[in-house]
This record gives sequence, structure tokens and C-alpha cells, in this order.
Amino acid sequence: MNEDDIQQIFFVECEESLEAAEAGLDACRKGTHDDETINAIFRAVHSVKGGAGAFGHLAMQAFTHCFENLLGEIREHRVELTPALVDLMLAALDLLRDHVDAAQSGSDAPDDSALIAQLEAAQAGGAVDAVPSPAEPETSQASEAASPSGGFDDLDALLDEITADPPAAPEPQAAQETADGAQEESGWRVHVRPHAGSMANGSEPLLWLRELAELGGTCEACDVDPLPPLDRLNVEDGYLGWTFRMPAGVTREQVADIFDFAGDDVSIAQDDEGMPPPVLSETEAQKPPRGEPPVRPDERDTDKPAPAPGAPTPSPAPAVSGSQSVRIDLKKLDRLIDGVGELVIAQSMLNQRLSNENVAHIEELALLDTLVRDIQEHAMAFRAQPISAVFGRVPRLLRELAGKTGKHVKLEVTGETTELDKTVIERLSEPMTHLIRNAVDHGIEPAEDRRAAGKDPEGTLSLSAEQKAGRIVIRIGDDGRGIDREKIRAKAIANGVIAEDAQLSDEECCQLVFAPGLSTAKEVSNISGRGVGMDVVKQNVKDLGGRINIESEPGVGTTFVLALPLTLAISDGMIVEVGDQSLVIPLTHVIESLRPAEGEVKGLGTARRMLNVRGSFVPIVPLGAMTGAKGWENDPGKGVLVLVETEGSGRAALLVDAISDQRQFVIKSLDAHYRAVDSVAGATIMGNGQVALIVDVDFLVKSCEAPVPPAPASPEMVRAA
Amino acid sequence: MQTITLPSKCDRAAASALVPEMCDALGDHPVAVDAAKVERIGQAMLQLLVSAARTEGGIALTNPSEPFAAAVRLAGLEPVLIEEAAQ
Repeated sequence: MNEDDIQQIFFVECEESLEAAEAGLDACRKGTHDDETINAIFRAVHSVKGGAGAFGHLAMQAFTHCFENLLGEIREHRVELTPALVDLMLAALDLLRDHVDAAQSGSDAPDDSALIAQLEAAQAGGAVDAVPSPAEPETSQASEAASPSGGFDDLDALLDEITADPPAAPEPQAAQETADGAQEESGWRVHVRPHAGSMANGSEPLLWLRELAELGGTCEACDVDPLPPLDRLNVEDGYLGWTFRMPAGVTREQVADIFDFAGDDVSIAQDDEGMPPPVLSETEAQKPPRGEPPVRPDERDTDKPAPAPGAPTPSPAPAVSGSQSVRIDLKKLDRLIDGVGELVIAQSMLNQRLSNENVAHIEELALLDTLVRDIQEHAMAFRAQPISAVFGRVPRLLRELAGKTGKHVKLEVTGETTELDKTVIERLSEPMTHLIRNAVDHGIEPAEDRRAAGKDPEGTLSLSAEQKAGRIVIRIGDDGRGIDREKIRAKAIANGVIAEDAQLSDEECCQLVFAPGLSTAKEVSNISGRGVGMDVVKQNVKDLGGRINIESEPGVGTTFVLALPLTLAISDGMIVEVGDQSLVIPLTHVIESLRPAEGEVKGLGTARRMLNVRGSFVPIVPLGAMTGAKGWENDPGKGVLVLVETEGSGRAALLVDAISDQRQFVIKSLDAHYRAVDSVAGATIMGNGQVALIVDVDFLVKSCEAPVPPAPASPEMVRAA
Repeated sequence: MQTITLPSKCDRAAASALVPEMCDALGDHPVAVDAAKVERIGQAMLQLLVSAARTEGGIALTNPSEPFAAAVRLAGLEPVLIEEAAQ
């Protein structure tokens, strides 16, 4: 792993730290914070600072240093946490994010001088009022004096500044104990043993020592015994351990905070627990024993190094540093997933062939089937990411919107750990951003209107994600004014989107916001009118194989419901026969299949038929009529009805001639090979090499709800097949 | 006496690069290590120097820069690197 790789890990960790800080500051804003919340924010900023210094991002380091100083004052209750201060810190967090982005893209660091001045003023303002306590204020002032904002050059210059005058930082009793053996009287000891692999993981143990020195700690001893002679030294491994004497005024928690982001890279022990034993790196651990091992023989002889009480779990995790994660080029991963897709097809073809030969039911085939499915699942899991990657950006978006619209919006998030495909996540960001802009700009009313309506003057945006029936359902809801259906309808008529006498249900009215020509530029402000209309949002979601629906109640709010596939590549489907064609119905839609008993099918009007499913009636949709296939069965009593669930159109029974199989299929885009066809979600290659179309169940059922079934796809579906 | 000059940035990469030279140089007599240029130094280089100091004839540090001396002080390695070398 080279420095760039480690730096990439740093950026990933930065993202996590920023999210943690964001969550903490959000709690502060809501007033639900406690000391631990401030600690968590401090740790997050501190963690970014450590990495920034290690990788030479000096501007970021300087900025985080100021930010951290202020947080330190708040943590010590020397600066009061006011709403204005929380806002300042949120602004600082946004700027820190810009710093990280700049460092990542290699561009110039953002101008942070104004904000640094504000942070310093806030910090100083608190310090004036602060009651000096015996130890920490001195430490804090000393470190401030030693490192003026933006003034330190790099990591080791920092080391220099701090270690040049170590006696200045400690409190008086700490200074006097350096002279002789009267050390038991005050202070306490901390033993620090960085694990052998800690440096390879990107940690720099000297940084931790610097933090200890900043708190007034002094190094009592360095354990150099495990260090091998030069010819057996592995410079990638750490061998040293340190004992620091900390002033009595420094708490265990303060010291623990230093190592909070060190994870499994270090063992810590206190006082007479003694120095934790060395923890080998994987490469060292795997080396065969030699006459003179590189670490203490008594430790090498034990299978597991005995952990010191209270130390982070030293085994097995630390011992496998470097193998816990592997970075893979995304292209390689995609090739693997493509390969898995082809494997699924090949396996399916093999199945078909053997079935034709009447040898389908052999044990090896079942085993192969299981293995292929396992491999597919694992391959898909490589690409799975939590949706927090998208949700995490929302607070900042809301702050920006608040600045532009004056509407302060609370955010409620649930299900942010729900995982979905990386590609889906990446392509979800744009439509979601637009929906949120829209919700704040158009949905949520200005504070005065909300007060007048008896609502909380602050609006609420709720985001949720959950896995439901093989799909990811994301809800973006606001508690605003709701969609004015009459206004939308009038606009749609005015723009020629619908006829004047069109009879539309409430939901259809709402869906009009997605109509091209209705939602673009004209009425929108500079917030949501950035050239992306709601029709594009719908298209984006549809391109992802998803659906978008609207639930809106006037005066109560609007919720956009996005239903997305877990993965874009492989799915389970039911192969059905309709006339002379095979079609695939995605299994995510299928509830059950049945042959209706006599009397369960009722006519409705002139052309429609309904199926009585245990007391509730669902429309029957003959797939043959939609496809234009020849010789399809129109009698529900002779065919098979596949009961499906749709997003937005409820249930329906698809009438097919027969069900021939249920298997995995690899989705091939019809757009890429032919062109987009309504009612068709894509195509797949069957086991026998034939192309079968995948039915777009939602569209199909919805189009049949219209008074005159449009059947627009029929000739094209035949041609495409 | 052969002199090895430490670079200004003594990180892991620098330590890795220095190992062969240091191994070749070590012999019956201390190898002079010039630390005048050192501006940044991490654990990897410090422990390389300590290991070298304890191997064969050891090393003799000369002209330690202030950042170098500060890092040695911080890590409590003065007795091993500075005082032992001085004896």
C-alpha cells in the first residue's frame, strides 16, 4: 500500500468524520446534545486534522486546528454553546468539507481567512469569560502560543514547536517530578504501544505522543527492546512503545480521546498495568520462528499476545492489518460483475440444455446453481453502499437553501444504513437534490404562512430508506402546503399537456408535475429551476429501473416515493408464455399465480374483467393484447393469472398462457441495443439463446387503467423480440 | 569515517531507502549520521536509527537539527540516540 492508497483511506475516513461532526452539530442545533456530543465533534475534527497534517494538507490542518481549539474551549465549558455558535461551526464544517474536496481534487484550498477570524474571535470571546482552572487553561494557552493559526508548516514543525519547550506546557507539579524519583506523588502513567502495522495503516505514532505532550505529558521511557538489529528490521513495522507521565489534572478520558481515532492500531494501558506487549503485523506474524525473533521471544512464543486490561482488542484484528480491506479499481469490479452476469446466463443455458436432454435433476447442477447464486450475491455486495452517502449531503444542501430562501428546515432521517448499488447511489444524487430543492422552495411555506396555518414555523424534511420486497423505497417528504391539484391541472390544460375535459384522479393530477413542459423553468425560482425539470427527475429514476410516486395532502405535505431496484444487473423473474412469445415478469412484482375457479372472474363494462381474489377485485390485464403475440389465450379459465403488485396502481392479474420457469435473468438494456419501448423494462437472453422481453409491470398495469387501453407497444414489442 | 546524511523529510519511504546504505556502512566503528537537514521525521526513521545504533559499531549523530532533536526528545530517545552516541 503506498502513500496515495493510504491517503485515499484518509479521504474516506474524512467523509465519515465529517458526517459524525454533522450529526453532532445537528444535535447541538436541536438542543439534544450532551458532553459526549461535543466530544464526538471534537474527535471527528481532530481526526481530520491528524490526517491533514500527515499528508501535508497544511491549509486544512491549520483550519482544523482553529476549529478544534474552539471545540476544545466548548468541551471544557469555557465557551458557551449558543445557537449562533452552532451556526458558525456548521459554516466551519461546510468549509472543512470544501477543504477536503480541494485536497482530494488537488485544487486550491478555499479561502478560510474570514472564518478562521470568526472561529478565533468566538474562541477568544469565551476565553475572556472563562474561569481559569489550574491545569488546562495554561496548556491551552501554551499550545495556542506555540501554534498561531495557520502558522505551522507541517507535522514535524508542529512536533518541534511543542517539544521545544515541554516543561512550559505541564502544570507545575508535573515539572517538578522530572527531577527525581518522587513521581508517585502526582500524575499518572499511560503506556502506549502502537501495533506493528500501525504505520502501514497510515498512523504516525509520534502524532499521538505530541498530543500527550500537549496535555502536559512527558516521556518517561521508550521501550526499544523489541527493536531487532538492522539486518532484520522491517521499516514498515513499528517496534517501539512509550510510557508517558501525565499531570494529575489530565483525565483518562482526555488521553483516551487522543487514541479514539487510532482504532486497532494501538494498545493503551495505565499505571501499573505495564507496557502492553507488541502486536505483530501480519507479515511478521507469518514469518517462521527464527533463532532470534525480531520481538521479545517470550511474546513470540505465545499464540496470542496477551492484551493488557483495558487495551483495545489486540487480536486478531490488529494482527491482520493491511488485509482487512483491499482497494479495487471499480472497472475491475464491474468486469467481474459483468462476468458474473454472463455466468448466470451460461448456467441458465446449461440448465436448459440438460433439461432438454432429461438430465436436469442431477446433484451437481443443483450445486452449481447454489454456487452461481452465492457468487452473484457476493459480487453484488461488493458494490453495495449505504445510502447515507447521499443522505449525508442533505444537511449542507438545506443550509444553503436556508441561506437563499430564508426557510429553516429541520431534517429527519431514517434508514440511512440501507444499502444499495453504488451506481444507483451515484445516479440518485441528482434527482434527490432536485426533489429536496423543490420541497424547500415550493413545498414548505414561509415561516409567516406556517405560523398562520398553525404549524411549526420551521418546516420539516423527512428522508427515509428501507428495503421492501426486493426494492429500495426512498421517501422524501415535507410538511409543507401540499400540491395544489387545481393549479397544476389548470397549468397542464393551459400548456396543452391534458385536454380540458380530462378526468383525472388525485394521484394522476399530482403525477402531472412530472409532465414535460409543466415543471420546467417558467414558474420556478433560481433554487429549483436550474434547468432540471421534474420530468428529468422522473426520467432519471426510470433510467435506474425505478418508479416515483407522489403522496400529497393539501396543507399537510408532500412525499415523493422512489422505488428502486437493489441492483441494476441481475434479477429474478418468472418466464411466461404468451402466444408465440416468452416474456419475463420480474419476480419482485409477483405475489402469486393462480387459475381462477368458475365465477371468480367478473366482467366490468364492455371490455374489462375483474378477478375476485379472496374478496377483493383486481383488474385482469391480458398480456397477449399488449404484446401483439399470435394465438394467445384470452380465457382466464384456460390460461394462468399472475397476481402482481405495482407501485401506484395497486394489484392486477396478468393473464398469460402458461408459466414455464422461474429463474435469474441478466437485464440487458433495450435502449442500448434497440430503443426504449414503453411497457418493456429491458430484455434478457434465455437459456435457449432466445431473446425475451422483460415486462414493465408498473407501466403496463397503469396504461390499462386508462379508459381506452393504449397498447402502444404492440408492434414494437414484436419487432424488438 | 563514512557519513550518512539524513534527508529533510524522514518519512517511511526515506527510511526504507536508507536501510541498504546503513547496512553497508555499519561496521566496527560508529557511522556518522548527519541530521542537520532534517525538517520532518517520523517513527520509522527514528527506530531505524535506534536499531542502527544498537547494531555492530553503531552510529554517531552529528549536527542534529532542532526538529530532529525535538522529535528525539518527544519520543524519549535521547538516552539511546544522543547520550549513548556521545559516550
